[in-house]
Amino acid sequence: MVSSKYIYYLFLMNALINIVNFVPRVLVFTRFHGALPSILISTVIGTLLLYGFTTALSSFKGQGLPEIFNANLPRFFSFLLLIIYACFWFLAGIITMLSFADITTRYVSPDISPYAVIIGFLLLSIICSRLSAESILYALETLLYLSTPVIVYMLVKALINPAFSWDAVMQVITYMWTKPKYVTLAGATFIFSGYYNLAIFNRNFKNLKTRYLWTIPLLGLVILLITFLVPIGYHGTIGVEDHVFSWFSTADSIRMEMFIIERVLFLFYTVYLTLSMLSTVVHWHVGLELFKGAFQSKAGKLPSKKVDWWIMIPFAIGTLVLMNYLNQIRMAQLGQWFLNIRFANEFILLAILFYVKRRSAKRT
Amino acid sequence: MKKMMCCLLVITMSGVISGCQFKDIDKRSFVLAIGIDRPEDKGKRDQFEVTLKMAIPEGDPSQRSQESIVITEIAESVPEAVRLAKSKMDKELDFSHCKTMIYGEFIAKDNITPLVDWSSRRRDIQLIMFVAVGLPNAKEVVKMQTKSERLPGNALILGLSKEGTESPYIKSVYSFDLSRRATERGLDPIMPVVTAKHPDMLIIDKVALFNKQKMITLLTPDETRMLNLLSSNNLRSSFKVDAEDASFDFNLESSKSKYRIRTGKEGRAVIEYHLSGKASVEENRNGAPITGPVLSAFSKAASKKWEKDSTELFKKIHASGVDPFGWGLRYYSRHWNNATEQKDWERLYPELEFQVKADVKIKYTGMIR
Repeated sequence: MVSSKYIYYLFLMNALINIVNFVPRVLVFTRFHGALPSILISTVIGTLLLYGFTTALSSFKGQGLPEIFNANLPRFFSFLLLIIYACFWFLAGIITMLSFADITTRYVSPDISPYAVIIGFLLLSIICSRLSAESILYALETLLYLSTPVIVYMLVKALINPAFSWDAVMQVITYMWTKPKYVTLAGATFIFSGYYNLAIFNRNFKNLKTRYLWTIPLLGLVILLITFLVPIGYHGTIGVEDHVFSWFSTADSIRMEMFIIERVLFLFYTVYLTLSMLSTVVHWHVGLELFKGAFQSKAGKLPSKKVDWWIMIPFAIGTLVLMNYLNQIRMAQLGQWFLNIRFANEFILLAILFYVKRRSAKRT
Repeated sequence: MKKMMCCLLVITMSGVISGCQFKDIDKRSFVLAIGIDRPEDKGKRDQFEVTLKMAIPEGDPSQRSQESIVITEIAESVPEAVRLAKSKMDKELDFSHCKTMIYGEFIAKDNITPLVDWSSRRRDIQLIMFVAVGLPNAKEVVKMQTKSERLPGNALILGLSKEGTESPYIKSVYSFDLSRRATERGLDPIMPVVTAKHPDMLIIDKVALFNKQKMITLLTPDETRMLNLLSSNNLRSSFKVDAEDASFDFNLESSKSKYRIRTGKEGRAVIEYHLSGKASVEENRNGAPITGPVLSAFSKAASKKWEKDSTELFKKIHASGVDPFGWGLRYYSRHWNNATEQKDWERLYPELEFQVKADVKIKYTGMIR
């Protein structure tokens, strides 16, 4: 059993890793067409979703999504939903891994085959996601404590740099009164969606009390603005669009004069590699448990641990196949589709949960 | 099952250790400076001449045994030239430590766009690389081995980064800054100019102003220093003042520059600069002791000099039609009518007015009165 502060760690994990790939990209692409209002709206939506989700879950103490669905929905529906959600969670992990494999081969070791990189990542996430939920949560806490100071250091370094152009930032802010877009909303709300992993981790929570809830919109808004505006300050309002990984280019533009290594890029890479692998492990753990939950017996018995391999290995092979098929542009499209579907799905899952909650209340 | 997994793990991991084509450090040669020119041969004027200055890793850097290797290659594009240069070396070229890129004068006067694209697109070239224009050409600058240089290419790096010397005539420009300026609306590229002087000297004391594509004009050393003063804070420099009753040099201890664009009469845009600084007297040529009133007269004379010099610089820049300070961007960023602001600025630009208010406070007379 863990205390309810771990909700915030789950939130923080997603909020921090969002800058790796797809969220800044969609925000930058729509910077003149509604990115800023979308950020403000998504802060509200994200917080409300988080609040709704935790309240809905708090009436099912110690139960994950499989237990809730299996007990309260027709068997066929719960099976179908759990399989779909499991695939979805696996996909989340796969996308993070694929983009990081791409980044690794690009920035760190171009001589190495991308397949070797992805196999390393896959081995790590397969082995780690089989750990118990509590070990994963503790690892999450420790690694966040270790990496957050470094991230804050890099951020301060980025903002006090005289090369940072506040005029470019202000110029983008003047595009405040534009119409928000669905794709941007879908991207921006991603940073709040870490708590969705409670779908499984709720099993380990004593109670889901969200004290200090006001910190979430505040932190979320600040993180979103940083995600969006810092690359613009470094690459200009027009040039920012040219960079594939805008935050990696930003990290490459910062220089540590008085450190062992000069390029912030490598520090940034290391920290974000850690966080991305962690988020993959969390997602795959949730995916695995949902998948196993779909095959829960009537008596509530879950399949044995040996089954894990037969679930993970097909997904690992799927990752390799997907990697073979994707190029940079298709990868970006896949990432955007993932964000879009995820946003719609958050409402659907919330609706299902409230429906289930009413049903179970009636029954008792 | 566990045993099988362990075996599988060991097999895969061993593949990772040996299988990648990682090259040891003694099989690499590190490119430290790139110079790009147009070839001198008249028939090949649309081709590129790429000069690479390389270092071979050695044991003891404190001894001046580090000879650099310079390779020059001509081809129809920069990547082609780099590939050709590879076949001249026995070691693998490694660009990951490349800290300087010199644009030859002809390239700078022609079109820098493909080169900016190349250097930001290549994954291994840093975005914190320094860029500069080379005179008389990039090859001379890159080849130059100054006497003070301990490590290959180090003189250029130390000079351009202002890590060694802190000359007020050097404006350091990073590669990411160049590519940002090359695309941004209302902000144009600038680059420092490095002149190679035989037998062994590199002079960095000018700045080249570009429109989006090519070099438009060169600033003199004095104008470069003024540009540095206007675009950064706390410039370390001294200035010479020659007025009727005050002829002296002052040394700047801190400085600050800010500006805003306001609407003047008849709807004209007025760029209003405010310069301030604290300084001490470095040399007094009058011979008379400096008393309180003299000091305040000095301050006034110094302020006047700044006002005059900077207004002249603004007029020169304005006449050349480029925007190295980003006035356009500042105008766009302070106006919320996004659809029309660009047209407004284009209309206002020819009629720009400049007002400079300088406020130099000379606080100390130095060690003697």
